[in-house]
Amino acid sequence: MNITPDMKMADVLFHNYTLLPVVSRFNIRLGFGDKTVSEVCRNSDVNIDFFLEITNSYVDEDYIPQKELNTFPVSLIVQYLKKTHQYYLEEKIPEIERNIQSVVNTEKTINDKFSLVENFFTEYKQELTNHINREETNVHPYVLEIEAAALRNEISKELYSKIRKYSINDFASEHDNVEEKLFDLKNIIIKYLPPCSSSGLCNSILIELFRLEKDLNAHANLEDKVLIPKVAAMEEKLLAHYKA
Amino acid sequence: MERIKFVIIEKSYLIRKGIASIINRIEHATVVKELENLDEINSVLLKYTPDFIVLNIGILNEIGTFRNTEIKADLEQSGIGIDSGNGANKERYPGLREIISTLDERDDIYNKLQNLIREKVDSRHKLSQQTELSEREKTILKHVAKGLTNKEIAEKLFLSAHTVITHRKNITNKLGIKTISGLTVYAILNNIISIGDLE
Repeated sequence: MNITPDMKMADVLFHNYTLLPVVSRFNIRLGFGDKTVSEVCRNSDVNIDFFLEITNSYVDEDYIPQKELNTFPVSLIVQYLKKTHQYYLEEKIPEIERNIQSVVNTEKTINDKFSLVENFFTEYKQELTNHINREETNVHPYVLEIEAAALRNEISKELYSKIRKYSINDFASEHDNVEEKLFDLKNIIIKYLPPCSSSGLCNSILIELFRLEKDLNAHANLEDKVLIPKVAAMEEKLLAHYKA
Repeated sequence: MERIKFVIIEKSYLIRKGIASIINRIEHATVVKELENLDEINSVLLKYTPDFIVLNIGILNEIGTFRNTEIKADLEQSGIGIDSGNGANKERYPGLREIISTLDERDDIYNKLQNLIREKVDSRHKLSQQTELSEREKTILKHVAKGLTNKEIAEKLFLSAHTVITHRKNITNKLGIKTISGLTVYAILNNIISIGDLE
């Protein structure tokens, strides 16, 4: 079922509690009473079209972004992606790290094996951090520049050669792999590690890994299905304009 | 399940895009790279490790004189020829798995591709049912964990790089672990390698 503007915000969350962190990223706080999605968005100064695109594609992986809704600026998407990055690096990753650390500290009999997981996760964290840094220092400024040029409908020689040298599709083709490590980690804990005696702790590590994976997939989908096609279309228009 | 990967080598833009759109429409299949000629073939094969290579049969003659002999062995298993002339048959090109003609009917093309894909999916499925690594695979895993590249492993074990890649695919399918760090953790947990070996 798609999320629509006239639904009650509270109902949306009752049905999809996984949206909680997503809603926070929009700086929307709980305590909606019976307000609808569109009312809450208006009060919190959130672009409703964008909110709907994000939440719908988060809940339903096969959700296809609505063309006519796709009018919001690239800067909004970038802003949201940044918030998501923050959530990974400042909340999720440290949380999982702490849990892994507790297992290593408490499970004396298997802690040598679990420290492999710890190393693996540290490596993963480094990769994710690099990935995010690359996006924030290279890709985001680039797409904002493209958008600004597209709005003015003028393209400089520098921008022209920049697009020629590194277009958004190059970014798309390099953009993968952070999910693979996460998948392996879950697999190793579920299938190959000796069992922890404190299964609660191990379970919560796994649950957080599953959630992180879901969030990363939604994040990648937003980039692949919304941001990249949008920027690619702008690039194409700019290139055509340059030649004309 | 990981999708069945295709690389297309075809000079004609129309034919290339046509074949790619057909393949991408088939379940479990995806085109990972399109090439106009053989220039980058070696690095593409190493990077994407495709299951099938679709190539214009005109290019086959070039491969005949091609220095890389591995691709030749590979094509018997994974090569799909595109005949943009007036209809070739498999007998004339024994080095290929299948031939598609630009004159083929829609259903013919789909059937040929779908059969190949189905076979591949089935064999992968069988592999994923067996989870025990063979001794050979354990040896390869050990070297992977030590950080050796496919080429280095091939040299060490007197295998072709292609064989090493096949073993690695099988290991990944059996264990469900894709990344090198993941495989390393598995190897240590199962005493295939000790932490000391990694230093």
